[in-house]
Amino acid sequence: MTKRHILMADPHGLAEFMKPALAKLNPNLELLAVADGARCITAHAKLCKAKIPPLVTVIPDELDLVNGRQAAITLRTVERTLGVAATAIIYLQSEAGDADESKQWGRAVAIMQGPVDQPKREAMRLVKAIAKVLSQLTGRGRK
Amino acid sequence: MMPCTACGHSGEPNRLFFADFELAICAKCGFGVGLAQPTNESATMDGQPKIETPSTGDVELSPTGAFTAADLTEADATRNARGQAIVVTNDEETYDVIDAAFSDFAAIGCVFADKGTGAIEMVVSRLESTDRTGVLIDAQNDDYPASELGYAIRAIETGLGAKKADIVFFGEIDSETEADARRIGATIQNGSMSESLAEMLARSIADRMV
Repeated sequence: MTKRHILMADPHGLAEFMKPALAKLNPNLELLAVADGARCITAHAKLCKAKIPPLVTVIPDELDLVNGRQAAITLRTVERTLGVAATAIIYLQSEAGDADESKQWGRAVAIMQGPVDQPKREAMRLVKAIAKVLSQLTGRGRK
Repeated sequence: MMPCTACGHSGEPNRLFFADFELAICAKCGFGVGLAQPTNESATMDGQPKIETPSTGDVELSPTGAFTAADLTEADATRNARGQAIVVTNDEETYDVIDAAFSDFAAIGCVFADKGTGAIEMVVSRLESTDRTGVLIDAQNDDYPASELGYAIRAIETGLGAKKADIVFFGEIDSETEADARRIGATIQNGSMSESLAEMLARSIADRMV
């Protein structure tokens, strides 16, 4: 079975804690972690070109080179122009006061970013969020 | 007529007419062979120099170095530049100035995007094109900051394995944006928008599209 991808812009190195839990959730899922917004766009464009856009993309709002908001709208523009299915976006907001712009992007959900000084806990929280989004995508409900 | 003291050519010299005098130059080597007050009505009335074509119809480049072959061909080559310029700005006053500057370059299309996402759409839709693409980004754009847009365009090109567009940042540019421009291989035209800046932008892009 073809591997499907979860793409994550991961400036805080949470991916290493998430990989075992995601493998347990679905062995065909592969987590691709990148350090900044520009690399997130590059990885997404590569997958779109290969016609296997990521199932879910996790984007924090604060990213180097291209911030989360611009990265998210760029992903949508690339998908639209290339005519590929839209990835589900989990947008990590750092401040509660910010307006939730993710609703405008379609197939996107915004959650508050947890404390990065507790990476394991935050990683597990993100795995749960990914699992919830995947269950909504497949329509099977939570396992 | 005296023969040219430089090459000995004794044919009719070419003449450059100025408002107050005329300069005779050797038709063969371009050496100055005489200076005189204009004697006929062929002297220009507006004070602008006028170059008389050689009577033989033969044109030889001057060996003095005053003109080079590149001087004569570059302007034409730039006029023949071909491609698409995408101007990203939400300042409406900039549209007309830049549009006018590009009117000298018939084969360069000039389109405007008032948002960064619009520019990205245009760039992606041109990735298959064989013509060159130039993206001119106004540093004052706030919906999608110039350097972030530059990084995003480079990221897409890398991801899709496409050739790189020529990116130019223009406007009032701070040192941080300058550093970003160097990282992504963009060029900078610093200064507030004016006709001369618009002409520089158009020429800068046209030079790359020759």
